[in-house]
Amino acid sequence: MSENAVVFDGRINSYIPGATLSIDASVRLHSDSEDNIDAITYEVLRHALWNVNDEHGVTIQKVSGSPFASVAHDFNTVILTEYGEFVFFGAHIQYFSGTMDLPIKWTLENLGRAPGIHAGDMFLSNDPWIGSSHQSDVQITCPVFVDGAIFCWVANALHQYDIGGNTPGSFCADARDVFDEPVPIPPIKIVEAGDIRPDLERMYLRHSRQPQLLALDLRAQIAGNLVARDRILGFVERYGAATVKAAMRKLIDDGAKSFVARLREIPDGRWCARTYLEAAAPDDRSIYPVTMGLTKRGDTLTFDNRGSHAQIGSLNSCFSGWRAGILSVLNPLMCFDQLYATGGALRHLRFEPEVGTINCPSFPASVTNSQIGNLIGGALANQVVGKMLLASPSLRDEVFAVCGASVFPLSAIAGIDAEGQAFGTAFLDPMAGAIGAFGHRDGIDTGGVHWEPKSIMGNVEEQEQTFPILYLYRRELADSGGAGRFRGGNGAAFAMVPHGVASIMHAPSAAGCAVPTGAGLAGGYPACTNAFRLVAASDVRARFAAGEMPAGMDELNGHEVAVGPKERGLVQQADDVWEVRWTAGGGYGDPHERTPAAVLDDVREGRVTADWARAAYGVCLLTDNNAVAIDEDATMASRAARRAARLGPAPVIVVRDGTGQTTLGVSDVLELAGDGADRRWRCARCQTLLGMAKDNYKAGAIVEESEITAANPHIAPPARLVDAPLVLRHYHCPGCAVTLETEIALAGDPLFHDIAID
Amino acid sequence: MTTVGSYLCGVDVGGTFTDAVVIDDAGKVTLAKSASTPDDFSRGFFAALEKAAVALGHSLETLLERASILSHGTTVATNAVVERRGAKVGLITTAGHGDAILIMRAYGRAAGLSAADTLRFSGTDKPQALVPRSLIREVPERIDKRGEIVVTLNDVAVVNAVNELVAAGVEGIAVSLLWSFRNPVHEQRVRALIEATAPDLFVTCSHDLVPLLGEYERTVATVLNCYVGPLTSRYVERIAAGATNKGLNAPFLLMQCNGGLTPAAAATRAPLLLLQSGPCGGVVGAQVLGHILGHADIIATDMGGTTFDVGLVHAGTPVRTATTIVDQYEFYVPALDVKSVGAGGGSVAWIDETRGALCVGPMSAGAAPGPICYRRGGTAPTVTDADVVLGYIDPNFFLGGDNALDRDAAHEAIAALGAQLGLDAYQTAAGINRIADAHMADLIRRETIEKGLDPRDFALYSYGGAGPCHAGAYARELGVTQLVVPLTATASVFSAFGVASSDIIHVHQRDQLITAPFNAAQLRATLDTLERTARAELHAEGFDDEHIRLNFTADLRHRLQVHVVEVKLEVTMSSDALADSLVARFTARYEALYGVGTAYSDAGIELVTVRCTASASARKPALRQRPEGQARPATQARVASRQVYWPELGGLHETEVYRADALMPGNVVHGPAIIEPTTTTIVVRPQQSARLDGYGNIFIDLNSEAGS
Repeated sequence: MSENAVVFDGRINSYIPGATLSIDASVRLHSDSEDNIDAITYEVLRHALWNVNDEHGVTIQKVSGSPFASVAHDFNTVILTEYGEFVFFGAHIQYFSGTMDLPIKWTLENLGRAPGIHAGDMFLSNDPWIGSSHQSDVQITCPVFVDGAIFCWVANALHQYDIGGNTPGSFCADARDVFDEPVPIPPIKIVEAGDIRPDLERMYLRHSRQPQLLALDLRAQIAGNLVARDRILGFVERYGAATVKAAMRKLIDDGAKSFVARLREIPDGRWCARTYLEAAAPDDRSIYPVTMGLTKRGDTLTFDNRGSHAQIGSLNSCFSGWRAGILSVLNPLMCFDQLYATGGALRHLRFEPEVGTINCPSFPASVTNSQIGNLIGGALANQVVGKMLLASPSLRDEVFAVCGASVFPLSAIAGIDAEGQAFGTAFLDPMAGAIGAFGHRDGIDTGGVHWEPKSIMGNVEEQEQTFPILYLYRRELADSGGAGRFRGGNGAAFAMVPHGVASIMHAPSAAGCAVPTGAGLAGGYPACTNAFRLVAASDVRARFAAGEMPAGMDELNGHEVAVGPKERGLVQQADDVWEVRWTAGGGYGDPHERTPAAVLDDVREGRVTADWARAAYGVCLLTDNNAVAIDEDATMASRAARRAARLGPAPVIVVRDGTGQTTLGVSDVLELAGDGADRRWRCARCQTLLGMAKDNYKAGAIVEESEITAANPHIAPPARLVDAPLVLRHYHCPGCAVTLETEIALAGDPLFHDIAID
Repeated sequence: MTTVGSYLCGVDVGGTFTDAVVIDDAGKVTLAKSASTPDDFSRGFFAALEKAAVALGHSLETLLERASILSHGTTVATNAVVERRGAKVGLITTAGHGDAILIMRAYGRAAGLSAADTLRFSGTDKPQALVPRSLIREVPERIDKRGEIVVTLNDVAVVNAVNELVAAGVEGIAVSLLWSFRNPVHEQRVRALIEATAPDLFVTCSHDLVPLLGEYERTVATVLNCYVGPLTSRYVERIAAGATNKGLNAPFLLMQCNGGLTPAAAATRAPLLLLQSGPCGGVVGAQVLGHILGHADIIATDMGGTTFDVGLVHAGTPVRTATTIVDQYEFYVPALDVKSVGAGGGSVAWIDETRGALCVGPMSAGAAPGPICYRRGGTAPTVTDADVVLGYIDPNFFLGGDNALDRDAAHEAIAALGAQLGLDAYQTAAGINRIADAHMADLIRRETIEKGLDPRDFALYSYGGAGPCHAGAYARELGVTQLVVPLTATASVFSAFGVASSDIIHVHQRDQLITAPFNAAQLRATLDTLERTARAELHAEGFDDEHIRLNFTADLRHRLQVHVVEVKLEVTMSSDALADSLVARFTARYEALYGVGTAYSDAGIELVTVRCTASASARKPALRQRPEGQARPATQARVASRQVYWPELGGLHETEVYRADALMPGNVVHGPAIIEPTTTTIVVRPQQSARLDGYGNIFIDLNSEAGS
């Protein structure tokens, strides 16, 4: 297909608006802006506008009837200019906000003449090809009018428990295409002149297995918009429309300025990342590559998805979510001091998706499981942006490796409770995630996820109050974070049984169960994989009766049912125990460079086991009467032996390249020396030559290949779930044996070319 | 309660100073200030009271005998948490759930932080654990949401856990089991087993303290109660016993974080309520004074030796919060919304060697060793040392001349610090102040601008020993135009004034899940029970019904919702009318909060909690007002001049110094100038002017153009 044939209008291919919008002349836009806003007023309005999103969000939490909103904050809010340019994201799900300009721009371009855009109107949409993250994330956009013209927009997106489709919870793992799924709704005028349209509301509620919940959430979303709209109109009344608009414009301009200033500290180049997603449908044992490329030239970053697999099964996610996943990483890594004023950064971003792919599919692909693609897109963006920032000494400390729940292990349940009422939910416990290791310190155990700065998880009591379940445990998992000089944050797992009901239906939907997706950085190890486990016909009730509380799945007597990343028709009976574990944070740097004292502290506080301390860190411990101490001699010997093993028995020709030309630090273990055609890669630790700058530095490194189970003690043999020959590769410096990089690959894959500096 | 010839006594213990305020029946305010004594705070407590007694011509014993109330605000609990000096606490919890307090519902990384901090992952982490994993013990037991036992508590496991924790040296054990507030039997059994095994331990059970749903916030409250409990109980009991021995025959009351007072006995049962109470006295004082001065919107700022606290009075009422956060740990306790940063007179100036930058705080030299100039062994330069070097504080007049300060030592240390950066002593001292002032302005900005409030709409009250010295600078950064140093002479002890002016407040609540249409008899029975409990408590504390005020509220929500809306209950209505009106009141309040049309009564309406806030009015101080005639000009209060370093003026400048107690109401002093009450220093910066009003407040007019 030639490029000219692709039309990005939201019908077959995703809606991608042009630089200028085609808006009907009947739509009036309020664009007056003061030239020079005074510094104090700007500062007051900057924070006041930030605060509008906060209040907007609090309103949604309070009005919503759904634990998604009120307990787990599975929503976000946003303010945009009259043209739909981002002013501020709220502090909740970043990739929700990152989609919201699209339905607004689409509405401006398509609904201006009929049905018209008027004061008091709001528009509901969940069409992924127009701009929702998937059908469950329902968007409500609200134009804010001043003097009869659109002054700005406020909007929100809120995850709905069930919006229809062939599976309770609307994650349709076996969907063949979108016609097996909730019907995508392009923007419709759900609120007209201040009133909900009853005909459209009835049609909307008819989609859901839980219409009352949907109705309450609809009101929550409307209430949030009303609060935000009225607050902004209050500012307009007090400061004048032109002043408030000037604050919005300056916010975006300042965001752009700051973003460009950061880009100018980074060399031009190209960074790439790849992972594999498993299971395009239940029982599918294949895996599919997903890639991201980032090219930095001057003041522009260009993202592409070249090398990603063609759209397939229920594994796809649309452009809107792919782009939003990228924004959700740029915010914490590059816009952290601009209150995430992403609009400015967007002016310097280009997106070049190949259509018909797993992350830019054409209609009518199945897309309800887009959370997989949105998050894996974010994880890949985390890697490419992170690697890029490592090349800037001033930004290196901001970098973190991939965070927990890098593919969200979505565990949806449904059933009929003791009172005969239908219930259903999805466990959002993995929101507790884990923060990957930073370039200068450890990650954060169950510290949330980067795509939700206010990550939060409900209390066990809140969950049990609302649903007929009983948790056996919810605990952090030692060793789950990626090993490294700085350790990735540990994740956690929980297990539950039905309580007061005979059975519960499950519809899990994930990837990352066989392939580790929580990649490490700069030689750090990947984190553990996701896991769903079901032990059927267990003795759990007998154990309860005997006064015991089983502490793990392996303590149960019962029959382990093999659970894949995607299942349908899975039923948990009263004596069956269900466990979910999520991916943790990736590590940073060679674990052998971690101080033994830090490893000892981790072991003492139960964050790392003594076995893993020895296996990954080469740190040997002595245990005496419950007191743990470092065995200095054994540790030194173990690390020396490992170093020798890395270098191997065969002599390696090591060229030290100590002559002092200009050098460019590409990460804290890699650098480039020399100029022009003479530029070459070398180890930043020992200056050993790794190759010419135009080539892949990995070609000059020692490649150590092992089973992926070696990456983390919680990684099970992948052959359980997939047929592909997955391997873990370490790239070591042939001079000093420091690990330069790790990667997950298929045996026989060429060395993945992840960094090329111009 | 009022006795002729009696005294209202308020004592406020801060990290650095202990302040006492005594108000007589005529409204005359006597104050005294003494160094805090962290090794045994009760010494400083009685030393301050004794100073006040002497000023009134009494002995300490006579003052206490004639006291009608002795009320007390203390930061002892808060400091114990912030400085991690609390008890070594063990936690016993339900098997499988010991990590709840470590996981922190995932939001511990950012709880209580500003937006800017929250958004920058690299600069944030979870706080140091209050209870490390090695002191958490899970015991087999399980109760479900209906309060039914699923797994019976294993006594042997409990005893083993207690023995292990005792062997590990814990001073207290927090017991927080899932669903204990629905059925406390297992927690009660654990308590009994602990008492049998280790009777001296401080034990708190979660169902006793905060019988509310949510194991994380409940467990944090329980652990914190234990963490501050042993220390706080010893403290309160020591002072109560001391006061009784010295003749006190009146209620000894403690300031709580809800802005009300509570009797000592209640405070030792729930020391948690004292957490974050320290700054509440000042906010209540600002509210009381603001009512007199006509200020409904006040930014109340308290700069002491170790921290800078900000609270707001908005529309005449202190701003409250439903949960409190201390050091990123959130717990359920209704409290005044007061925020703190580590910026006080004792905040230490230091150099971050990797960045080569001058930094101030958050470490504090506190009262011991204190700033270098205090001559108590301090070696690290502090904000107060900078104030002395710059000439703001007169080394010979500090605390009215009781303690001469060592200016030379402060100068030498600051010069040495500055030398590392190539700055002289004055530039360094001015830099220390600029950084400390910016920290304070940032906190105020967070509490006003970041909450959508414009600080320019507020009067800023500045008190605490170091506040009036710095307020002119931090207020100017915010564009505030009206700065008030309340009750000038009292400014440094203003929290004590607030403590002496507060009401007794107790909150009683009962979880009761009922569905509309509400059963009128059931609702009335609950209200009656709450009322009986509330009155009985206050009767026992010596209040009769005419001094007791009860306010009833109920939390309602739509079925399926988690969050609730609090609705006021008019208990004087008939039971039927009350029950009938509730749905309409809820809907009206709901739509007022969230917009017309947002209520969705089709989902059904539930009542979740009924609450009674009982308050008893302690005697309110009457304030004397003098007429603002210019009997004498301000110049007659001028006592000296000295060299003061003004960055605005580019260097040292001979500056007039005024005695506050010689100023007359209506007198105006133009900056640059220094006004010296006996217990603080008021800095009137260039292009600012100060005026004394009839109550003794100093109003500083900030020229908003100044310095910009």
